[in-house]
Amino acid sequence: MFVAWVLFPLLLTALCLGCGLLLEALLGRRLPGPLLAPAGFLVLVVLAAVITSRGETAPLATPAVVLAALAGAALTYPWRGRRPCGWVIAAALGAFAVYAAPVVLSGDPTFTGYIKLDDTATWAAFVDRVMEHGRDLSGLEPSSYERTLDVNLPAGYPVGAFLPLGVGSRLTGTDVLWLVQPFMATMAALFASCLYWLARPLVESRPLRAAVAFGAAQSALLFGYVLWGGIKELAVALAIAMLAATVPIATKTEWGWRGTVPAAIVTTALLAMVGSGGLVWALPILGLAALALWRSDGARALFAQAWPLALVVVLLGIPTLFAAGVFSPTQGGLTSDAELGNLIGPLSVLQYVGVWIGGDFRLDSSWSGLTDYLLVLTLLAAVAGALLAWQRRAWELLLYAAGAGVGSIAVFLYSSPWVGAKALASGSPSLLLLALAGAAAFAVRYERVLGTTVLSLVLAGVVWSNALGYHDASLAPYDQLRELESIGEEYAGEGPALMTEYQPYGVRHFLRKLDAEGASELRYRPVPLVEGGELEKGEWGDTDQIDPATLLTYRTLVLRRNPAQSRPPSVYSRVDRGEYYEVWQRPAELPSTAVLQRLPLGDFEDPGAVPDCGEVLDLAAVGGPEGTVVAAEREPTAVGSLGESEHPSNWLPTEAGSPDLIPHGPGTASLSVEVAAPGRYDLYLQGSVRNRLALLVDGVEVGAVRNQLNPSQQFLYFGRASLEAGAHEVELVLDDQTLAPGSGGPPEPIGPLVLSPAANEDPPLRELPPARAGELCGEHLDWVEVLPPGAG
Amino acid sequence: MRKSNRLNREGQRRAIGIAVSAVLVLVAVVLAVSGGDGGDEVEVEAVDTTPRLVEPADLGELEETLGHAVYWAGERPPEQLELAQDASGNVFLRYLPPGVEAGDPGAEFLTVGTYPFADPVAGLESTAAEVGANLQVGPDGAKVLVNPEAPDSAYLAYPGSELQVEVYDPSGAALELVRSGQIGPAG
Repeated sequence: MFVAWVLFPLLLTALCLGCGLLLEALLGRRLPGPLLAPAGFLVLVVLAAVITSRGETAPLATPAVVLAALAGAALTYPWRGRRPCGWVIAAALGAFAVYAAPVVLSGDPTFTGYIKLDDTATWAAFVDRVMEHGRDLSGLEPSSYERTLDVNLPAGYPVGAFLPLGVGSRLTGTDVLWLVQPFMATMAALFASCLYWLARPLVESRPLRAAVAFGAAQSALLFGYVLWGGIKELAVALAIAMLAATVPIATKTEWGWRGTVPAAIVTTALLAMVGSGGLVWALPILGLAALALWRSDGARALFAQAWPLALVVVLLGIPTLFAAGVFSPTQGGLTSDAELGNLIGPLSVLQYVGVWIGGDFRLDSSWSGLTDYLLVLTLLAAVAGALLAWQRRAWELLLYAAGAGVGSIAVFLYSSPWVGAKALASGSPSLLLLALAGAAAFAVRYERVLGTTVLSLVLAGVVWSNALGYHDASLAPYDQLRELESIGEEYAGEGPALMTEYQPYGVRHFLRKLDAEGASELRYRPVPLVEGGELEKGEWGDTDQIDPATLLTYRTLVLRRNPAQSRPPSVYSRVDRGEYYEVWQRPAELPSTAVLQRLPLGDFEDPGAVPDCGEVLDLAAVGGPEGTVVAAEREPTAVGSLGESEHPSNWLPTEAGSPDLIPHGPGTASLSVEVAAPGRYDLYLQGSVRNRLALLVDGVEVGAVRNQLNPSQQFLYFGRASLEAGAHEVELVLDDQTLAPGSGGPPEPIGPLVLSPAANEDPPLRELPPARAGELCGEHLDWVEVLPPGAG
Repeated sequence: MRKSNRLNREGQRRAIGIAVSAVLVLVAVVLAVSGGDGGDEVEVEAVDTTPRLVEPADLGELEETLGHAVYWAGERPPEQLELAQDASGNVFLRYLPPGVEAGDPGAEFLTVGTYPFADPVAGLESTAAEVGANLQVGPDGAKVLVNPEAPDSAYLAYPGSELQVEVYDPSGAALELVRSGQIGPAG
């Protein structure tokens, strides 16, 4: 937690300040204080993007950034006369705190957006590769990681926004995923600092300006995107604001050509972050500034300033834009009306206003009347802000609002709903800034009470919107993913590996050094099922369901602990068992005929069954008299349907008669479960849970689970209990929501309840000569298989 | 005099500002207090699960209590209407011939069940795929499913609704009842 949330933000800020100072050294003049660190951030992006554009130089990106920061500090030393403004810092820290809250207050250095959107796994894969090899994918074995990179990097997918994260990850020695959220919170702080500067001409009062910047930096839509890994959206928002802030410097002819460098750096960073699509925002801002310069100083002055800017953009932008071909902003998926991505439907353009009172921006607002009211109020305040800005000649602020507005609305209108929504998110703080600054200026210049009231209402609306987002956040299970990280380190090089759980953070990132593939993930190898077809994306599959020849191509299996999971084929041995995962391995060299044939048994509720005797005998004959029959013993599970429980009336089934319930509120479900034999049982419940869910057997609590979101067909584990044969009363007690992050999200189905005998954790294998295969008749088994002569 | 006029104007402006501010805050508070949908909590009162005879007029009140429609096959005199509910929020209306008491264990009566359901159309589609049947389109665009192996029941759901309706008719006329448009909300 300390490294992620204290050391990393401080280190990144120090690098940004150093790079900002380097820019100042180049300019020969000082940048405005609030712009120093944000400008340095964009210098860092451009520097890292240029260096990582070639595989040979990519590993030098981190040392180069450190050297640049140190050079900046050295070249501008002594830093006399620089007094950090307390109100800038207050606005930045306030924004940082808001963006940090959903994770920091969870107590784990995790990230948000889990299950909701898997893009964060892809960003991690990009950083892993690009920081070491640029876009060069040579030498990678087939895997989900390689496939993820292959469909993106050679197509020129822009990666600039992720590079500072990669630099920080290498300097702190911390995995990228644990830094994603602090990275975005740090960007939000830089963003607030920039907005503070832009609000300056309209809001003289520093405390008021800090409040305005604090509010505008957390536009509800942008905050919503950050809650599912919207690194690019926030980085682009920062770049648009910085372009509006630095373009006026470029129009100052007394600065000469050097004055154009900051704007050129920002434009190049924008291109590195989103490719040529970034021109949608850059061109209106640069165009308006050019028009103003032409009108005030004439065509000659315009040309004198324009060519150095264009030259810098071309020189620095080309290596990043053309590093691997051109990423076309008009390709099908980005412009198709049908491309919704993970949206439920196209967003309302009104979300651009930045107030949306609801826990999930994809849904209609929970307080639609209040939201509509605040939207109108914010728009009126923005109109007042625009008029006052015009009156006060606050050109940067107007340039920002106009450039962000034209760019974002154009993308919203002419691209797919998925891309359009991202554009709205990146541009939305501009309108909020205009509104909040307008209300603040109105309060100072015209009517204090009315202006302050509007400012407070809009701010309260923004904060409330985000408080609901915080409450509904989907937190990644830190302990579980940390276990995958350890597995990835310990078994590196021992692939290929297969995960049967849908776990993009595993196969795209943590297990990349095992060349892991997900059975229902993006991958190279087909993973056919015994019964034909393949798993759908997101599905879990038992190893018994997978074609044995395919399964055996994977040396390592990383399997989620799950009562429906069969023991893998006999050639695999368990080498590791954690709280969430087991690792199984077969010998590195294995003939393709290591297992001649298999008879998988059981189903999802009980992966074991009593086989048909004739099938066992037929199977035994396959290996001939010298073959070996192997069977995995499996004790039967006991299953309880929550649909048959006594439960609160607002716990609803997903389908009539289904064994699960969706708990719309706290309460207790009670059911009776019959156990056939005495013994120790592991207690599992299928599904996900946000608030504390305790499981009691015969009135005694066995365990409790909290904040555990699972992909499809996975289970919550409560612990182990010794049970006598017969009926047992099981109670599931779900607590009410709390103020903790993630406590208020939509309820997920839970059920059925599965009691799996503890002996199934270490199922004994029985090896028999074919002649004695009949001994297996009538036994409850996981599977039976036959090995070739000499393999037993 | 001029100074006094200016002070008056400022005073008026301030008064208007305060009044408008008060209205703005009041409206916001009223909308905040009254406008929420209560998040994901679904409040359902404890239900009496004992079957009982009811009058058609009682069904409107039941719908108000439950917050959703209750489906039926209309009044069918001389048959009496029996209401049964379970803890899951399912509602069953049975048409009992005269003389049959509420709670009769027999299964030979026309019954219309209303079940709260997360996505009833998807549920029907998945069931249809499982049993190898085709969904039919009923009145008002409802999706209708009859399991060929249990033709006494017809299931229907309306796109966008969160209710699934089952019509059970032991005489085998469930599908005709649905097609004839006789199944609808009671309120």
